[in-house]
Amino acid sequence: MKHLGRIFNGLIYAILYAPLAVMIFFSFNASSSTTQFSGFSFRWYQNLFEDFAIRSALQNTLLISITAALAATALGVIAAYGIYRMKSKSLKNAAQTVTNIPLTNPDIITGVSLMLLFTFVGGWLSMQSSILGFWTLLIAHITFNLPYVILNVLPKLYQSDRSQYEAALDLGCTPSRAFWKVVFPGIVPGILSGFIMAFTLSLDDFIISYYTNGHFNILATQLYTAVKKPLRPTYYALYTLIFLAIMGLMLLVNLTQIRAEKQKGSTKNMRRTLAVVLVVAVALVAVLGVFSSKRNDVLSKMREELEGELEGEYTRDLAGTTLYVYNWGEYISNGQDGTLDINLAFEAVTGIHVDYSTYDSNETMYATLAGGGVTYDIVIPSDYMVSRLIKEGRVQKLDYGQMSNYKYIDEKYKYPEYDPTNEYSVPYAGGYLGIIYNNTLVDEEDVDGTWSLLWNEKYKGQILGIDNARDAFATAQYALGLDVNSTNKADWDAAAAKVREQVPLLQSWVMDQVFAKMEGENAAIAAYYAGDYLTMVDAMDEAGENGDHLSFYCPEEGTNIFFDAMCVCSDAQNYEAALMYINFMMEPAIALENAEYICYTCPNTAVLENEDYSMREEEVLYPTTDVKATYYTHLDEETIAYYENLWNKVKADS
Amino acid sequence: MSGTYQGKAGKTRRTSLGTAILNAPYLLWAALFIIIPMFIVVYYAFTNKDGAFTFDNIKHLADYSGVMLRSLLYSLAATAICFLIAYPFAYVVCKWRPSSQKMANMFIMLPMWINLLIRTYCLTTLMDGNGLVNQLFVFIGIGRIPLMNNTGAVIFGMVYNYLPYMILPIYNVMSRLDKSVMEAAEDLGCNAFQRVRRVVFPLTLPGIISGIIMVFVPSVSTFYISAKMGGPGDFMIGDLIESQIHSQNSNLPTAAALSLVLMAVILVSMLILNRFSDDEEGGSMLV
Repeated sequence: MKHLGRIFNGLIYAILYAPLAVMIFFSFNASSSTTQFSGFSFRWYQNLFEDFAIRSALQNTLLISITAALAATALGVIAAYGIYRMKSKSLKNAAQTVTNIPLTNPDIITGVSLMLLFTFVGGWLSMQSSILGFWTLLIAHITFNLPYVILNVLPKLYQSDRSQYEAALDLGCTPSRAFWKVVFPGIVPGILSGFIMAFTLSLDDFIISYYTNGHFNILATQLYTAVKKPLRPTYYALYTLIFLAIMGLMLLVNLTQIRAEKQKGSTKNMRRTLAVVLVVAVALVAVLGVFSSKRNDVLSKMREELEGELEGEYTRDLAGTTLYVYNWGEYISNGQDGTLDINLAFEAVTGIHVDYSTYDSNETMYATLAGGGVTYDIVIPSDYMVSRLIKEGRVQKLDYGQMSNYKYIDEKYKYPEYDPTNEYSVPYAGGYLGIIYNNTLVDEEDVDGTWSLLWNEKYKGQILGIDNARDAFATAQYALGLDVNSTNKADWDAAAAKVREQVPLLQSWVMDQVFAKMEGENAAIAAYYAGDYLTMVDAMDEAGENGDHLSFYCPEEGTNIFFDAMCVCSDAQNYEAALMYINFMMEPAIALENAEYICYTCPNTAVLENEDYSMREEEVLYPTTDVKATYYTHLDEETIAYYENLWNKVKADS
Repeated sequence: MSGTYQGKAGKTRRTSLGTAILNAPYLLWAALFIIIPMFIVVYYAFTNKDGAFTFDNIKHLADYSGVMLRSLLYSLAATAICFLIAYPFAYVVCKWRPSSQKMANMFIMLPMWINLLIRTYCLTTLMDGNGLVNQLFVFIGIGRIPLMNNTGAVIFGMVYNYLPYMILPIYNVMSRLDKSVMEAAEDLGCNAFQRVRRVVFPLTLPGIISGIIMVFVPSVSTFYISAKMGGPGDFMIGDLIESQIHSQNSNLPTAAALSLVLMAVILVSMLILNRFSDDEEGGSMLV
């Protein structure tokens, strides 16, 4: 019986720790894979100290967690003492009920309701810039931390002996002096555990932060974008360090407590433990501070390297300002594996800091812009969404005269359908939607060059659905020979019915998650974008030379061609910097680096004519035979609402 | 705190004024950031996009009854499984030496310091079609077994992530049980099973109830675990709310109506739970 209990608990621990063991193990992987171990290395730990994005997110996370925990503790102790001293029983109950609301409300509701409040206030104040940011995030964190502090302190207050406090008053103490001398020492353990809980919860929160953080990037929100793709082991390295630090700390606390219980000197040890915790926290911040100084060195080194490489003129007049860029995930050269970090390079040259955030669909981008609460200077949506933003006045005209590198944009991409007057956008990159399949899992005779592969029952459970309404319905519309830009509701109904047929065959719905699924050979077939197919091949080659397992084709019934274009938002705070940034993106040297990294079709003639461009003859990007393809166009409100509703039902009913 | 002292005033007035001053900041905070946001959700749920009063958003929810039922079933299953694991687990731990108990507790809490997103990601690298577990299965000749992207995986993901929230409150109550009560039960002829059923279980009910709440609430509202580990048919209410907010015709009224239903579901479950326990302190036993 005793052994059985041990075995059972051991098993539970094993399950709890298996994923963490995987994390620690693969943080030492020599390749970027998180499922294939190819040798031991410290590469990702080194990478961690070079990654400015992670470091700044870590600093922001610590800043928010510590500030929120301190503020919540102060406010919570006052509140607990107030509730404790309340005379009216009903008032007391009311206060405690309110305290319980954030505890029992799901995070998603706390997050959404606070977001609604903040954007409402932002709209009411008609704020020009983002209301969502550090302050709103701090308020949200304090709000969900408060109940934990109160509930930790309140029982200690009730345990305390009221007569001692009254005796102190009778002996001439002022109430505040009596509180500090008599009550406070008794509730210190409650305050401490409240503070530690608040800090932990802040550190770990994702959902509430996700709705209230705006531009203020913390680790959790950054991770949310990162975990959609195969996660870089840099994050494994970071969390391995955090894990080991916390484990060390908790072991220390526990061991001192165990020893203290033997010696019966608990307050003294409690203080000692607190001192240790504080010292460690300060040391951590100090270490970060030491590393931060490196950023300037990197910037000045980068500036020297870029000297003479650039054709446009870049002033440093706007140095010290911030430019907010909102782009697709994994869609810019970011310094990984020796590539150029373009945003950092821009900062090196102009002194303008680029605050970069990402989305994974045009729809998410649109909702964020339309929702208010957060503003951006530059967005990079696809064609049909560019039309919509133009039509709704959400983007503004560009001064092409200030962008000397615009001459490098291929004539065939100027005056596009989505921006017929060519006043609002500069093409960034594009490509085709097509089918990516794993040729070791799919039999060659089943590949007939049509969309029907996505409906092949033989591959039940191995097909990935594309998780956005427009593309998912388009695959069905092309397969059925319908117009993807139809405004006829019956056409959309037919497409929805066709997608419903596909649902039982699907493994899951994916957007950016497609990378992990296809690179890890967890699924066999997916509809996705040409450029991303090349990215997957590269990643698989790097992890274990399996890139040739993947193939791509554009189905013969026709497919979607898309182009993403850089636009400046009408409420942009930094218009001049935005133009400079767009010009910078078109620099031959920069555009080449970017084209090599993102693997999409490049509209820049300086790149296309450059012999060094490794993908200039890549059939998938620059097909030599005709591909039957259409652009999506912006549809009317009613049609959009109709198909989005259909889409939610398709997903909900299955 | 020194502001509470009103030197010349009488003693009773002093305390009540002091209490009011003490309570003001928190009550103000709670009103602004807890109560008003709730009203905003209600406001959105009952107005259309032009701000006129309507019941349409609520009626519209009939389309999503399947999703709601699914969320409820999945989270109830996850909560039940968590309980079935946590209770014997805590029972076993309580038999250990005090110092071992402390360590056991610490190692339950430790994984919670690692972000849920990364823990779930690591879990998927283990369970995916060509993940580490399946690689092992293929290696020893069993072949691939679909562990991921199905209902079981979603429930497993919830159990994995929220189990500590069930273990800790149960353990906290159980470890404080008076040993003499157990001995008395034994002396009166109870066997081991009867002791658990008639003595331990009723006395640990407050812990069980806070455990249930702490597992059920995040489970029923999750949108990450279901999206990451589920198949195409595992869309949950949290996913639906998230997709209503982040869609092209950003649909806040429907999202608000869904949130309202979610809150109602949780409120009802709490009321049901409260019938089993009249101990008000139950909710405070979190760590």
